[in-house]
Amino acid sequence: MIRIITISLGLWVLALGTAPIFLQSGNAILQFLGTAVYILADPVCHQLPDRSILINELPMAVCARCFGIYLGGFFIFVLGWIKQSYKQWPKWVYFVAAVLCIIEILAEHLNFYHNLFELRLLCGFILGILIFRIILETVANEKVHLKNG
Amino acid sequence: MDNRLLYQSAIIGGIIAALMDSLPYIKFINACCCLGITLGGFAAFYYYRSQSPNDPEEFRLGGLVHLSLLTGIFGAIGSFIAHYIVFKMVGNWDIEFLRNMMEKLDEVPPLWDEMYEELESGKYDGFAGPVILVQSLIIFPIFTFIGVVLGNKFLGDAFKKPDI
Repeated sequence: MIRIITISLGLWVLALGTAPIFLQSGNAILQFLGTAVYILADPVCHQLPDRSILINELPMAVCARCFGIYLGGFFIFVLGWIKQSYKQWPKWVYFVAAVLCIIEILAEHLNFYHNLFELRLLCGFILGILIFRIILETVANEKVHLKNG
Repeated sequence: MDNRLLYQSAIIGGIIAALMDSLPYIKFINACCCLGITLGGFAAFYYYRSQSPNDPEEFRLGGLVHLSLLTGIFGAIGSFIAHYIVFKMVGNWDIEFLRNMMEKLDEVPPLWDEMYEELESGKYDGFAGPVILVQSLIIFPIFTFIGVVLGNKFLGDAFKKPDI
């Protein structure tokens, strides 16, 4: 199960990264695939171009923060797969990291800075690690249950 | 699992997710990585847990997947219906919103000018029912699953009565 989720996340991250390139290629099948990624990501993200990473001058199918979330998720699942360590993180870790991300979002809304891609990406990456770590722990718990009969 | 309670929770969570996905302006909450749909999954877990506090076995992975899948399917169908009702009442308000937003942009990104022309052509003024349904059936179960898992992490033991 962990492998399946890791591979799926990897494919999704890859699809997000390659969709703008596919869209600009001359191949009809690649263009169709690229368009499908944009349509699939439409309800998931606002897709505002000024908040998205540009690839070949075309905005990605999701914004920088959302891309960071999926990247963080992929990272934590790859780490879980390699290290095979699923010890539960204490709840305060989640709260501290979530508060940091909320501060980042609020700081931008209060005009302390404007549209820093790196910070958005980092904030998304941390959120992705948190959210997908919980999923990883849940899946790993099931593995332990099955092992113990 | 208690099937009756399971369906009740899934319907409640599904309705919340569907409304969050289809009501004008409220749906923008989903721009933040489907927060509204995730909230539906969270609500389904909350309801189930509050009604059935003492059965940890139910909240193993299989139970969580079952609850989130049902919530996601009810949510997707609910979202389709709610989108249709909203379309009948106010038309394609989001296409109109997009047009207005693009008009206000200082610099139109590449390929967006073509998209703007397509939007202007009236091609998308109809109800995009099948697209909404297919999109929702794929996306809802994924994000309700995240909501249910988050609920299990943070509310898992909240309703548990102490063993006597």
